[in-house]
Amino acid sequence: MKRKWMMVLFLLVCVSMALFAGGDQEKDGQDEKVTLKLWRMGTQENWVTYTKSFIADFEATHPNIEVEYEYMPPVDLPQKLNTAFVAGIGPDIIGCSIQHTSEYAAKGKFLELDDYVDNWAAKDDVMESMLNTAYFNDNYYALAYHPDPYVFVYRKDLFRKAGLDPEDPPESWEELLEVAPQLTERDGEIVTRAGFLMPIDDFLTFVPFAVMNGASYISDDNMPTFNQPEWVEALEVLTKLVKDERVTIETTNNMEWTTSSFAKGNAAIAQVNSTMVDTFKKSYPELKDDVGFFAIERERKSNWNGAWLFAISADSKHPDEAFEFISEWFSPEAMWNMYEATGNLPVLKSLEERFSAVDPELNSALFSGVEHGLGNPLVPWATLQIAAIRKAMGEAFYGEKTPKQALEDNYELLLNEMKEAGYLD
Amino acid sequence: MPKHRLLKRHQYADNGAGHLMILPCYIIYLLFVLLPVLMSVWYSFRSYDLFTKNDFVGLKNYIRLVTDPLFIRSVKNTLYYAVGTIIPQLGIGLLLAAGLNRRIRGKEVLRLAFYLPYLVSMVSVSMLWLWIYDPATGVLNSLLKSIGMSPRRWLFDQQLALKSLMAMGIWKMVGYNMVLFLAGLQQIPQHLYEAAEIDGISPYRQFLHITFPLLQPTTFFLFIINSIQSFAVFEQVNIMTSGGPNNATTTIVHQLYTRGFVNYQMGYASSMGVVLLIFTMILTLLNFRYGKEGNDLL
Repeated sequence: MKRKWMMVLFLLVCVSMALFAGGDQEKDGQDEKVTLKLWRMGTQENWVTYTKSFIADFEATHPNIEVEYEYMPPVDLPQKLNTAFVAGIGPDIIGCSIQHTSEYAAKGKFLELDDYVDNWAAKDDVMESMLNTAYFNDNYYALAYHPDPYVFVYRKDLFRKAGLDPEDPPESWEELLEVAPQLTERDGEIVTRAGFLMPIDDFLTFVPFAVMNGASYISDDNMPTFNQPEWVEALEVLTKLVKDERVTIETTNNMEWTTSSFAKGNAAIAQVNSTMVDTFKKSYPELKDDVGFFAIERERKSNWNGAWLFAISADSKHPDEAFEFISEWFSPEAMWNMYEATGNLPVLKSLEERFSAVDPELNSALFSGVEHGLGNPLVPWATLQIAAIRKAMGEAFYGEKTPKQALEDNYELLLNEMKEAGYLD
Repeated sequence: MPKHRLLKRHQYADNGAGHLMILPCYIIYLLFVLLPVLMSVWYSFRSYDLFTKNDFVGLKNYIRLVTDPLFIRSVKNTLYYAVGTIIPQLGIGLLLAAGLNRRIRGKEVLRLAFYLPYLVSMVSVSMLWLWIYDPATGVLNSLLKSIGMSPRRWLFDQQLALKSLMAMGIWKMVGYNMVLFLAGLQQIPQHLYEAAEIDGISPYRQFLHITFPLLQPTTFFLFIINSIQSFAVFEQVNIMTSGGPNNATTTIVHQLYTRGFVNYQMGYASSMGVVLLIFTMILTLLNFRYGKEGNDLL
């Protein structure tokens, strides 16, 4: 009998613990303060610090809104978002990339922002290329606040060291093929300084090479194009550099996107974003005047220009407050603070002149980058395409297939994947 | 009513309190293990993409598995990894246990040192080994150069990348095996060795005819644990190589993760999970069949 009472008591304790575990939620429900959940990809310290300080300012001027900020590496964002969306506990505001925007918008998880954007007083001040970054299917799905233009940079000191003219950077593929091997440093078989930095799966460099050769990233009818001759030629040139001339450094630094080998002083020529240039100059202040910029032009100028955006979840219960947050984020004062804290190119027309005056050489290169750059296409199969392009690059760079064969095979593979995923009939 | 059935009922009545006490564990197991497994099987027959699609597709996902070059590559890599890690992990673990079961100075420190890698998270260990394997600045190449050998490309060499991950996996797991083998060794009655010594049996034959058979339950248990871990290899792949170079290190769980969480093909990923479940179930059934052998010798 005593044992039975003990069992009943034990079960009561378990049930009570389960019930009281949810006590705080009820308390929150009674509070009228709105809590916005912000998930932003990017773990770089300067961005995290800036975002926190912006939130503190925002909360001070909006006492009825509290912002819960979480940040994560870009690769982790989809996994966390997927599980959170399915569980119904997703964030209100999502800081993501173009590729994420097209994928989640296609799945109905991002709110159409047209009503907000059309009535937004600051709309006309935002650079049009940025405003249109996530405009597709006649809808705005996100707003780009951080263009990520990549520029060709080179080290003048290393040009001098190799006996090359530091004021004469390569301006064609042929010249790049000529100088990159001369700038490469080796320790036996191992490259210790890249003549031209080309991480093995870096489609951000490959795609602009193809586009500057006349290719289009996707066709007019939204189909992949990377089996076209312009792409093949571009991959052949990069394969020569990587496989035959072995000019790139191989590093296990798997944060190459956030701390490029160029920023660490291990590359003579690279295609990097402004953050990497900034990091390099801070790490090597004595070499800050030895950084030069150039463009390679064939059929057209081209470089990579991704973007980081803010979207609002279609499930958000507080879309008005979420857009208020985004709107504040785009205010001229906040944009300038952001530039000072992170080096981000301000995307407001009203700040263009002020920004250009700070560092005419770098900033004009960045503006050119935004003008001629391209990011991932706004198609829901962008991730599948990236995987296929990377696979083709690997097969070509490791000599498993010719560049042409690698691109052909992986193009077929992508079409098959698109069919399996229901993007093609 | 037969006597044994009465006995069973009686035993069950006696154990009712025990079952109730562990009811929370039953519930947790049901909700977080059994239910997800059953749901994975369910989704493996559907086109589930998390948000917009969830249609029944029959065996389509399973048919796709046998034609997907990446999945086929991942199965080969996983099998290679499993075969190449399980035996060395057990062998080295047993050797270490045998060595550190003797009266040697500092054996406690050595046991701790060998066990320590197992306690460290795979993320930390992966970061450490990334640094070790860096071709230009890594410790391993510096060591090779210091003894006059050529540096290697390790994680960038298609032939070496998976082997490099295997070496790290072995290094991390041998300490765990050593501790369990030590526990097994210390359970073997000492008088068996004393009798063998009196009969003039050599240490090698003592190991072969006393130690090895009496360690069989421990060995089988460790074989299963090591097999499950090796078949589920993921973290180090994701952190250190992302399946590269050129998919030379992609594994079943890495493909499952990519398909499910990166490509939103949760139905297809579930079919990979079911295949992995079948592998694991076969190994577990082997454990049930053979794992208790040797117990009767004690």
